[in-house]
Amino acid sequence: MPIRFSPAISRSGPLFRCFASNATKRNVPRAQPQPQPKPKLNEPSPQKLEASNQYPKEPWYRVHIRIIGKFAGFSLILHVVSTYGYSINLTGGISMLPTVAAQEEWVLLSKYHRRGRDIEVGDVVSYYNPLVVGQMVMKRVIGMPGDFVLRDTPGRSDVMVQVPEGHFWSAGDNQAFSRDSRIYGPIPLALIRGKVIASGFPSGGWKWIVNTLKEPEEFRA
Amino acid sequence: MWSHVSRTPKYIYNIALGVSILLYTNKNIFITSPITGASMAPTLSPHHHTTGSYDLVFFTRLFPGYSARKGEIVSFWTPHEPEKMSVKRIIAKAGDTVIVGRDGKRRGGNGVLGGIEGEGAVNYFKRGDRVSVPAGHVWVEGDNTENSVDSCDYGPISLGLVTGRAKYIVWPTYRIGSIKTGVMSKTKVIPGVSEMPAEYFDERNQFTR
Repeated sequence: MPIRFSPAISRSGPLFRCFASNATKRNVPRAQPQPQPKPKLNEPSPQKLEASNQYPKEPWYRVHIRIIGKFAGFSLILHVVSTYGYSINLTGGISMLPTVAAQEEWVLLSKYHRRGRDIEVGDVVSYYNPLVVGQMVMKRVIGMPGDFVLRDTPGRSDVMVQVPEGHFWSAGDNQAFSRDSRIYGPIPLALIRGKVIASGFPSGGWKWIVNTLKEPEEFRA
Repeated sequence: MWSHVSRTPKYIYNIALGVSILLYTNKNIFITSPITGASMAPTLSPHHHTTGSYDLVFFTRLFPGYSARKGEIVSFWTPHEPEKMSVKRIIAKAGDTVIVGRDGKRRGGNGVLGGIEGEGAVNYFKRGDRVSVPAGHVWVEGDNTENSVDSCDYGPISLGLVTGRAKYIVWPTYRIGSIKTGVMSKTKVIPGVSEMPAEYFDERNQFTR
């Protein structure tokens, strides 16, 4: 005689109803198998129809288009943020050597300061080379409109020039190996891409780039 | 796609996407903008100084610095006012020598290359001066030479300032049409070849960026 465990709850109760099989429902007659209709020509079988209901109804390439579209949208937003907000750029070259390394150092640009907005003497800015279309240069601002600056390398000559309206004078921190305003003169402020606010490496070592130029104590009063 | 992941409502993404598409298109693909002022008078906005009517002009903004050619009308950030854009015609390219056609009222300008020399001297371009256009620069002038602030005042401008090229007039309807290119001014230009400063070449005479 098979061992029968009596259930603690009634078999007809609401909790047990979900487990009830046809065998427990004694009074209910077993469901008779319905006669399957013969598959017609040019019509998907019911199994195929059921399988197709488990997936999105759109064709597979539409899914690809949606994913690519979302990706394009996010990259467009990212591009606009990096154009008008902040961007991270790779630098190279020895002209800013004590401040920024010659290779593989990255800088954070604040694009609010594009076109010379709120730029002061002593800031490190990134601008387009006036002589080479599309080349980006990073240098320190030495003079703003109206200031008098030394035209050549210190020690070579004493010629002072006045920075014209709407221009600035740039100089690299590594004066011996820097191509700056000594070569191409004052630069239009409209060429400025942004102000460099931080620099570092992918491995770490990020630091803020501060305006090292300080007001002389005796003039502060 | 990420609606089940992030808590930000979807309309924020949609607004950001719309604004981004607008900004990107107007900065990098095309823009239509009104031309005010009398400096391009016979070609663009001919009656602005009398009736105040102006033309809406379609500007291409695809790679403007690389594709700007002599004779084309370009828009650029003015060198003396960084937040102001101006529309002028390219008269000479880099390397050419320009014989300045009128006396300039100095409005800034490229000192070492263009105008000033000596101790803080402020030189004005005089009629008949010979100015050689440095590498990466162009000489721009308005078609209405007497009423324009152009390279005669601030010297050659860098191609990095150029933001677009005028292609078509789209408004008013009776002026719809493409804009003709070609040098109109009487300014004499001696063609030449542009040269980068010697500091840009290494000891093997090869160009270094």
